[in-house]
Amino acid sequence: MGETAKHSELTFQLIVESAPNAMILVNKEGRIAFVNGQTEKLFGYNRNELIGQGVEIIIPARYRERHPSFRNMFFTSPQARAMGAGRELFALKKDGTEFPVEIGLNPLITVEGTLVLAAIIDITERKRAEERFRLVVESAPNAMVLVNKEGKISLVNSQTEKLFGFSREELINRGVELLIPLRFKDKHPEYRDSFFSTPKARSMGVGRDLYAKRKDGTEFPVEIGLNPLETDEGPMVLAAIIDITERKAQEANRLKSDFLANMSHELRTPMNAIIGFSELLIDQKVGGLNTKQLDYLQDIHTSGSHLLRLINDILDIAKIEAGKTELSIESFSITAAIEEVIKVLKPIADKKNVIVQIQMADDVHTISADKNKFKQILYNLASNAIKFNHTGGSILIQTENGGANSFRMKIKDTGIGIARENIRKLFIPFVQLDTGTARKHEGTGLGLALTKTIIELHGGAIAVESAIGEGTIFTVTMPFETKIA
Amino acid sequence: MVVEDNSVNLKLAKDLLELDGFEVWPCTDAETALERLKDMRPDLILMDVALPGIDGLELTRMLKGDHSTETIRIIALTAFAMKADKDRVMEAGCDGYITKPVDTRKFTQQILEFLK
Repeated sequence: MGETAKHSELTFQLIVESAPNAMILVNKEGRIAFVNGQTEKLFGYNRNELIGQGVEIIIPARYRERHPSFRNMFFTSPQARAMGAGRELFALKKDGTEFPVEIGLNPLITVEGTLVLAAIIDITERKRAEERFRLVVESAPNAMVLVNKEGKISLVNSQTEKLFGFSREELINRGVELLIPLRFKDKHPEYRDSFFSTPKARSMGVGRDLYAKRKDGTEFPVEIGLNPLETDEGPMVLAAIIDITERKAQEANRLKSDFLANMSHELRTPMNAIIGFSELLIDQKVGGLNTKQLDYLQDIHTSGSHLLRLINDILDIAKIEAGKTELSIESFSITAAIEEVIKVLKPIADKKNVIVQIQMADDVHTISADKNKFKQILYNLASNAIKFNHTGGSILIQTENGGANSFRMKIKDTGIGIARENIRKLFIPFVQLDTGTARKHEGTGLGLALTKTIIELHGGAIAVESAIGEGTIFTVTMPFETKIA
Repeated sequence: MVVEDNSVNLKLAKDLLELDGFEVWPCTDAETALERLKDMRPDLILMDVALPGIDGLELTRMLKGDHSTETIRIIALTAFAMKADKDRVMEAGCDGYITKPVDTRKFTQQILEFLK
């Protein structure tokens, strides 16, 4: 070996020695030609124990067999590259412990032929940090998606799988556009680029309504928090995705009930003057009126009162549908409640000469329900039974045990009956059946719709049987004890 | 005293009460009512809830929290007729609650009951 060669070898050794990583020089046959101090430290060997040995000494047993073929491949086309791209690499210490590594390979042409210089980095700490990060992401209560600059998903947690209906495998390395509704897809790369140009933690799409898309194509409203993250694989963005369907629904419900309260107020205010002043005039407290004037005023008053009933019924239905009706459940005697309603209906029944009979079952006594609403159900059904009855007809109110902790209340009349094709129309708001005598039977057209809604609110049901000319039976089935949902 | 911002409804309440011999001081907002209460003591105030500026419930709280006015009976007269509305009104300190539309045939009788 000449002076120059010796000098350059010395220089090479000095450089390798001062490298911050473990560096190992290996020849074509897989023998270790040289190691630096960092290698000794990392693997726990003295350099004399390594030099001249097969490189397999620092490779875990399970990888040893394949190593020569990988090495041969490197020497066939020697160029600087990372070892085992895409695979996880492990190294073996003298004491037999394994640790994860990253290895860079560099060919070195020498007089003794081509060698490979391997730079070995212990990535135990990095792996641990990655694992911690993965655990944190996994344990987050929200869906978390880690996306790179190109929009590829690199990590998701199980909340993401649950929320979107995709499995992890279906998402990793796919474009994040997979989770975005079609109409927002085009704009997304642009937004992503602008995030990466000034990466800082912020909410996505402030002022815009954001939606995400599940695997089945359905959409849901979301709120998304973005956090920039520097990783080995370049800058990424960690997106925390919250499903705000529930919150939106609550907000909509609140707006709806505010609207109801305001509408009720605004409609009642003028009704006060219309009904009040017409009453005042009809009562002739401020002076006498002729028959025609009195007649017209009665019309105003009747129409005003009708309108008020409509407003009340509509608001009742709307309140129930908005989930704003709270039942005040109490225990009461069903017989007493039925008798109270009949007392109110008596004058109307008497006017039409309709007989009202009650038949109470022995085993139906006390029920738990909203008493006022229960009476409203019976009042609506029984007053219909009187209204659509013949003069001199009769109605029968019957109770019976329905089994399964429920009771039935039947209201039978001897009235005009309802045609089969009309029965399903009964509970549709404002659809009054064309009985040929329609205008004879004044009502809001909401009574049955409201009745049905109230029964269902109690967890009950209503059924109708009818025969033209013979009469109708309404059957209400309700639990003995209504539970508040 | 009747505190009511809707002039038509104010007229109705005032006329109904005057027909039955009551003396009525009408006010169209809380500020006017407070001004007049400096030198007069009505037996009862009919209080609309939705008023511009200080609303009826706020005015009720002010009057019920002041020694010189706490004994005046206050009856809410309001078109807020839902169940929760009554709770809100009674919580504010009203002694009674009448919903609009009023029943003109029972109105003064209702007021007399509250004055007993």
